[in-house]
Amino acid sequence: MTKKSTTARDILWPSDENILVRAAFLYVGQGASTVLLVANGKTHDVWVVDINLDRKNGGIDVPRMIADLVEKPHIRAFVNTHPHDDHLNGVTELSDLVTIDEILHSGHVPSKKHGSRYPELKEVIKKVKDKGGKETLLEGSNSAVTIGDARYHVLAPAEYVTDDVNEDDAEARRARIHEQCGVIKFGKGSEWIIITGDADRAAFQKHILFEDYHKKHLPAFALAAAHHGSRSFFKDKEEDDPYLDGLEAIDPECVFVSAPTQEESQHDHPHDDAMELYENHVSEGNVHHMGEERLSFIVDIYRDGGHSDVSDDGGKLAEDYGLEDDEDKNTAEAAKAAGPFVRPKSSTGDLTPRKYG
Amino acid sequence: MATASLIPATIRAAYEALKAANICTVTRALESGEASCTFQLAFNIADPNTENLPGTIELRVVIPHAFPFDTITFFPVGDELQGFPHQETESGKLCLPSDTKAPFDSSRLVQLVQWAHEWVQDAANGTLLKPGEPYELPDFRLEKGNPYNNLPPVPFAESGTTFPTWEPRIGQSGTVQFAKCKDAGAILALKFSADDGTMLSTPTFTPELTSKVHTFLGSWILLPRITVVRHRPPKSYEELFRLCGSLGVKIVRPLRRAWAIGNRNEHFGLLLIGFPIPRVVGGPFSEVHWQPIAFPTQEKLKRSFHRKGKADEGRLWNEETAGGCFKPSKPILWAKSTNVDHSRQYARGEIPAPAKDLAIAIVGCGALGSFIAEALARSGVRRLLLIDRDIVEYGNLARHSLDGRHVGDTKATALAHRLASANPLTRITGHPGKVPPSDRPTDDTRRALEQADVLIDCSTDHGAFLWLSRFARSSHKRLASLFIDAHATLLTLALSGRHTSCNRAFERLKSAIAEGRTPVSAQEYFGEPPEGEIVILGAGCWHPTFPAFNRHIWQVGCSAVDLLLSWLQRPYRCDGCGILVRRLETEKGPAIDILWNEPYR
Repeated sequence: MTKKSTTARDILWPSDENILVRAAFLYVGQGASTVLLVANGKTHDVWVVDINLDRKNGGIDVPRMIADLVEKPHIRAFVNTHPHDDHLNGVTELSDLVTIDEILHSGHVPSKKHGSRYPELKEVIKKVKDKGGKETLLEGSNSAVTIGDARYHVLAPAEYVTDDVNEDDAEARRARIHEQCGVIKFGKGSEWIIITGDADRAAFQKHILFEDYHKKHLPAFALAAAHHGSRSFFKDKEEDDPYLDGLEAIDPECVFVSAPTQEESQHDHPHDDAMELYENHVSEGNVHHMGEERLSFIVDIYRDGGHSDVSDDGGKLAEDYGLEDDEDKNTAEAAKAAGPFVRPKSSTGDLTPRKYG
Repeated sequence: MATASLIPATIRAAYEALKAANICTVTRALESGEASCTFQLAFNIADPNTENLPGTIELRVVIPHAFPFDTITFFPVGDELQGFPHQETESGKLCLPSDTKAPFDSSRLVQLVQWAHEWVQDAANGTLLKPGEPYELPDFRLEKGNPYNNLPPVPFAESGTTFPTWEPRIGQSGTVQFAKCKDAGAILALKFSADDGTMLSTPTFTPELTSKVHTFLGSWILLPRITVVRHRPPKSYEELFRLCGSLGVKIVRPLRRAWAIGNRNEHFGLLLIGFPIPRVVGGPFSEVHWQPIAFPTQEKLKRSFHRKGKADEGRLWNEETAGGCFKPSKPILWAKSTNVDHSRQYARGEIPAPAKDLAIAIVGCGALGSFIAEALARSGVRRLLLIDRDIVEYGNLARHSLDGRHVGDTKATALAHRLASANPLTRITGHPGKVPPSDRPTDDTRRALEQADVLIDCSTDHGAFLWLSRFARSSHKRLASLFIDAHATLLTLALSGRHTSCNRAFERLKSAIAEGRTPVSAQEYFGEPPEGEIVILGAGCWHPTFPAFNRHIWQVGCSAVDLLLSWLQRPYRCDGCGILVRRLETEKGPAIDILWNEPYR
């Protein structure tokens, strides 16, 4: 029996049995979230890598969308590349709507400034385990793990640095977490989709590609660009020479940048110089910026080898599952509190112009 | 009889110049009448020619006394020159090129006679209409002795889209339901059905216009062609019957049916005669043209003979065909019709798709809302839903498109009715309810809002606007909100985006003003009640009024309509938009300045 038609299911659920892995890079405003549908016999398991709820920028309400996507309220796994709020916001809501078999996470403890939702992750891990689910620590490895008919492969954080984040200073700790952020790829054979979280230049230079350690494991045709299109993947400061070994080792055909527009982003993501470097590598038409038109992008790996072109949802997911800004509500409540209209008073200060017509 | 001495000198000079030019032979000398002078001339043309005209063609020339400023006309003398395109059927008058191109001096007559000569030569060669030129309808006008000249025209909507329905029906007939609609100044052809009962066509005239008017039945018949002599339609029933006989089409049955069941209230019946026409001369047929003929009904005949139902229909019909209005020698009383299909109306100021295909709800039908509604209705927007629960008061009339006849009616319904008469093809409905509407799914206002693709808030009610913003966002509809200041010097327009609510765009605009980033100061925008605002005491609450002139509201309203249409013509963008329009009084005169037009997310 097929589930009732929903926007999420109509757009995302594979109708072609030849699809081994489908990745949907969701528009979630200032944050990141990727849904992977991994073939498992006749069905597909749902994996969610990172999650974010951005009301201000109308990001997709990922938990609601996932609940609409799945046939039964259940997903195979939630992967958290690192415990910063913009990769974690919504995990509680997700766990409220669907049961999760497994949580994979980097094991870092963030500062309160950047990881105020970290306690939620801990709660959800407990909830998953209480229901008989599994907790897995992301650790860089030389081998991939079989999941259904496909595989995942964790490239970072390196096993030897997983617990090595102890700085008290919030910014320093944030930087260290980015250096040791989870990097994971999904696929099989020579077809891979790599998700780099907020991994930065140091993560690649000092660990992943140190002495070409993971160089042979990095190639992937699809790259979820690190850190919302930040230049931190290439350099520490704008004026630095870019470090290109990471991008060249991955050697993607298409890049997905999860960020709102620069004007909307409080960090000016994506950075122009980073976008230019991505474009230089894959050409302009193959860099897909979710925030430009609030699109979500979809790409498939096929069972019989090869992969699809990139398609998008035409903004439908953000339209149907976009979170509403609370601003409307606040203004409405303020108007309500102003009381009944008798004679218009001076509105200086309350920013309500006098309307005639 | 006027004497030659009364011939104005200007006409005399022009006449002498014509004779000296030696381009025609004057066959009857110039003489003067009460308001014009006439003379007759003859041209020699090629003989034989394709139209079998004689080698000499004689014309009567009429020169108004106001020569050279009034129109000179040419009429054939004799019966040979008739039925041509670019020629009036009834009088035979030649239609020459636009006479504004001829000089306004004594040489004007020579120029026009030369053109008349060229017209006659083209007529003889059958080249008055050249392949590829726009097709010209036959001339059905009948000015003299036509008691139905004052009958309103019959608008119909036919195009290439509807042609496939009719093409297989050529040679057939059926029934048509008419509605005589005083408000629209028209007899609307509502429904066409075939003789076997199949519904063929239901033009989408707005029910606002047709729901409460008297309807009556008539007939239609579709002929393969309508011309009998060259480009001329039949003038008499004899010609019509002969034409139908030669085409193998039976016309008596539909004619008799229309006569028997026509408009009994006003005692006239209508038979719509259709025929296929091409868009250009020589092109394939691409649409149907309908031309009505009018006649007295059976009912009228009964009354005129004081027979009131006692007479047998068959006997009355025989009387009519033998010696009455359908006697073969009687003239056909052609009535007027006009094709109002959207594809035709575009050339007369109709906006193109996609904006015209949208269903637009206007919330608030005050000075600004009624103006926007009128502009959109006349521009051919296909569906308008007008929402306002206010009643029209005398105080509203200075700045409203409604008038004293509507005082006491609800603004929404009165305006819908009035605008329906301005464009019968726009479906306009009035909804006298409030916004926000109740939660009941059957609430009329709620249903109206749900039907709309686009909402335009002219309510000036901030609560209504906030509700509309949330409603539009959750139901994926576009929302625009607009209002003016007290003197109509400043228009504010907030537009939603695919990902940006209208209120969010408005909030961003207000922030920009408050922070001094726009050319409008915060003091002007948010400041104290302006000079000129008067609070009128009334039962219940004080009622603030504002002093803006109607012309100033319409002036900024025009800009608002342009901005709205420009927004609706484009794909729906992610960004919303905040716009400020300033009405200026400059040294050179009034002007409009778009002060601010910024996208917002």
